[in-house]
Amino acid sequence: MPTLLKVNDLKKYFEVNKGLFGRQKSVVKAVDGINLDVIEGETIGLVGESGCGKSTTGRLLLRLIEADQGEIIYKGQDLRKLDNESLRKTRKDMQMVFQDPYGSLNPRLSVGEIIREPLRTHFNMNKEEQQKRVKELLDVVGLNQRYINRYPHEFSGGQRQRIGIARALALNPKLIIADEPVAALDVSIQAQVLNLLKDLQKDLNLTYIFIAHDLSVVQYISDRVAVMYLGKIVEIANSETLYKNPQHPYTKALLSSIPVPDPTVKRERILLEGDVPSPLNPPSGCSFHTRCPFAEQRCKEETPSLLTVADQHKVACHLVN
Amino acid sequence: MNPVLKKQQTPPVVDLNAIDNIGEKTEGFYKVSFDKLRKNKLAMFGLYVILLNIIMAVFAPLIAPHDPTEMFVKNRLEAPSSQFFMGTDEFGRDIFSRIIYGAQISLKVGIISVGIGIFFGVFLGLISGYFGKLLDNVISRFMDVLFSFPDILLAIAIMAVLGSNITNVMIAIGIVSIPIFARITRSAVLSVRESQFIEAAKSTGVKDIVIIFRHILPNISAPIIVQSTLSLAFAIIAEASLSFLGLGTQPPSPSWGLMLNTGRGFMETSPWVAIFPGLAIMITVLSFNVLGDGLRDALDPRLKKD
Repeated sequence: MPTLLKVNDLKKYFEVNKGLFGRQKSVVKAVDGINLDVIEGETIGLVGESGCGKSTTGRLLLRLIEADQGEIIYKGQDLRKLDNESLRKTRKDMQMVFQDPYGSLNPRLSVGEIIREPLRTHFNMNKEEQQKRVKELLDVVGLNQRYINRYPHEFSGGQRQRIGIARALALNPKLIIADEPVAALDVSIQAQVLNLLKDLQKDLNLTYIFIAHDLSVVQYISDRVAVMYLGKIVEIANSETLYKNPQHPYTKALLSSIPVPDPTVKRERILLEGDVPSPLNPPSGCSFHTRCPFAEQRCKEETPSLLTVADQHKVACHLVN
Repeated sequence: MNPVLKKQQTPPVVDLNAIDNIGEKTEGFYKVSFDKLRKNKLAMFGLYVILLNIIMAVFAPLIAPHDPTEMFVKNRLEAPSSQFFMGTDEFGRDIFSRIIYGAQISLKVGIISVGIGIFFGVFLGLISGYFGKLLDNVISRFMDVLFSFPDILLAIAIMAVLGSNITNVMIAIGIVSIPIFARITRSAVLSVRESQFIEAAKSTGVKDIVIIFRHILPNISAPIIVQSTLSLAFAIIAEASLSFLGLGTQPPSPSWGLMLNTGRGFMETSPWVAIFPGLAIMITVLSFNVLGDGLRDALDPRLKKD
C-alpha cells in the first residue's frame, strides 16, 4: 500500500511567558519530533493522556497551527512549504472532524449552509448542484434530508457530529483527521458514529488519523495505533499486536487501565504514580522515567529512539531494545 | 380499577407527520430574541416611543399645526393654549411644531452619525480582532487615543476644525462613536475567533474575508446592536449639546438643543420654551437607553430558554 502522508521530525514548541513583564521565557514542547507514515486506506489511532500533544499533532498536519520544524509530505510536496493559495487547494484532500459537536458548527448557519460551504469554496457549482450534493451527503451520514434548513441547536450531539462528518466529506477528501470525534458523545451514540466512520471508510476509501484517549474506541476502529507521551511517540504497532503484546511500560500501564466488564477476571494492574510531568520542564533522558516502574540509571541520561522490535512494531524504550 | 391508570395504559396517539414537519420551519435567532424582547415592558415602551418619534419625523408636515419657522409676532412667549399646545418662543414660533420638526434633525443626526461609527468602528474592530498582531496594536492604540478625549470635547474640537453646520455635526459625532464600536467588536471577535467552527472553516480552506463576514460577524451582532441603540442616545444628546453651545445646528433650524439654549434665558418668565425641548430630549434618549438594555437581555444567549 502506498504511503499517503509522511511526517518527518515534526516539532511544535509553544513559548510561554512567565514572571513580571514576561521576562522569563520558557518553552512547552507540545510536539517534540514526531515521525509517522500514514498508509492509504488505513486508520491510524493516536492515543495518549491529556496534554500529550495528540490534538496539536492533528492540527499541525493540517497547518491549522504552524509547526516549528519538520516536514509533512503529501503527494511528494512538503505542506509546510506551500503558499497560502496552494495550501487552500490542498486542504481539499485533507479534512478534519472536530471533538466538540456543539462548538464546531456555526450556530447562525443552517445545516444546508454549513455543508454547502466547502462546496462553495472549492467547486464551481451552481446552487441546484450544491443543494443536490448536500442532500446526498445528508443521506450518506444517515440524516433526514428534510433537516437541511434546520439550525445546529435543534440537533442532538450525535446528529451534530454527523453534520460535521458530512461537512468533512463534502470535498471528497482522501484523509480525515478525526480529533476525538466521539469523546463528547454518549456510549450508545459513540458506537453509531464509529460504525458510520467505518462504513464510510469502506465505501469512499478514506484514510483516517483517529485521535482519542479512549483505548477501546481506538482498538475498535484502528488498524495501527501510535501511543504518545509528552509530545513523542513511544510505541507504534498494528492494533492487534499493540493490544496483545505491548512493549513499552507506558503502553502496558495504559492498557491495564482499560476496565474489563467482567468482575471475575483478575488482572494485573500497573498503577502509575504521580502526574504527567509538566511539558514546561520535561524530564531528562526518557521522558517517562519519572513514572516508569522499571526505570534504570540509563533511562535518566539517554533519550531512547523509536526502534523496530518486530515487523511494523516500533518502541522507544531502552529496556526493550 | 383506577381510571387514571387505565388511561395511562393506552398508547398515546402520535401524529408522525406533525413530528416530521418540525424540521420544516425553524425559528431564527432574531425571531426568538424579539419574542423575548416583547415580554420586557420597559423596552417595549422605549421601542414604541422611538417608533412614535420616527412617525413624527417622517410625517412632520402633516402632524405639525404650524410651520416651524412661522413667527406669530403678536403671540410671542405665549403660554401653552389650544392654539399653541406647548406655547410659543421669543419670536412667536409654535414650540409644538418645532419639536415635531426637531425630531427629524435628531433622528437624522443620530442615525447617520451612528452609521458612520458602526461602519468604521465595526470594520476596524473586525480586522484588528481577527488578524491581531501589529495591525491590532496599531488600531487599538489609535482607538485608545480617541478614547482618552472626553466625548463631547472631542466633538467640539472636530467641529471647531470642520466648521459648524449639520453635516459636520454628524461627521464629528460619527468619529467620536467609532472607538466604542471598534472596541466592542474587537473583544467580541476575540471571543469567537477561537471557536471550533472558525477552525473548521479554516480547515476547509475558506478565505479569511468570508470567515470574517459569514462566520464571525453574525455571531457578534448582539453587542453591536445593543451598542448602536446606546450610541443613538448619545448622538442625540451630543447634537443637542453642540447646538446648545452654538456649534451645531444653526438658527432658525428647530433643533431641540438649540431650542433649549434659547429657552434658557426665559426660564423664569416663560419656562415652557426650555422645558418642552428638554423633555423631548430626555424622553427620546431614555427610550433608546431602555430599548438598549432590553435588547442586551434579549440577545444574550446565556439567558436563552432552550
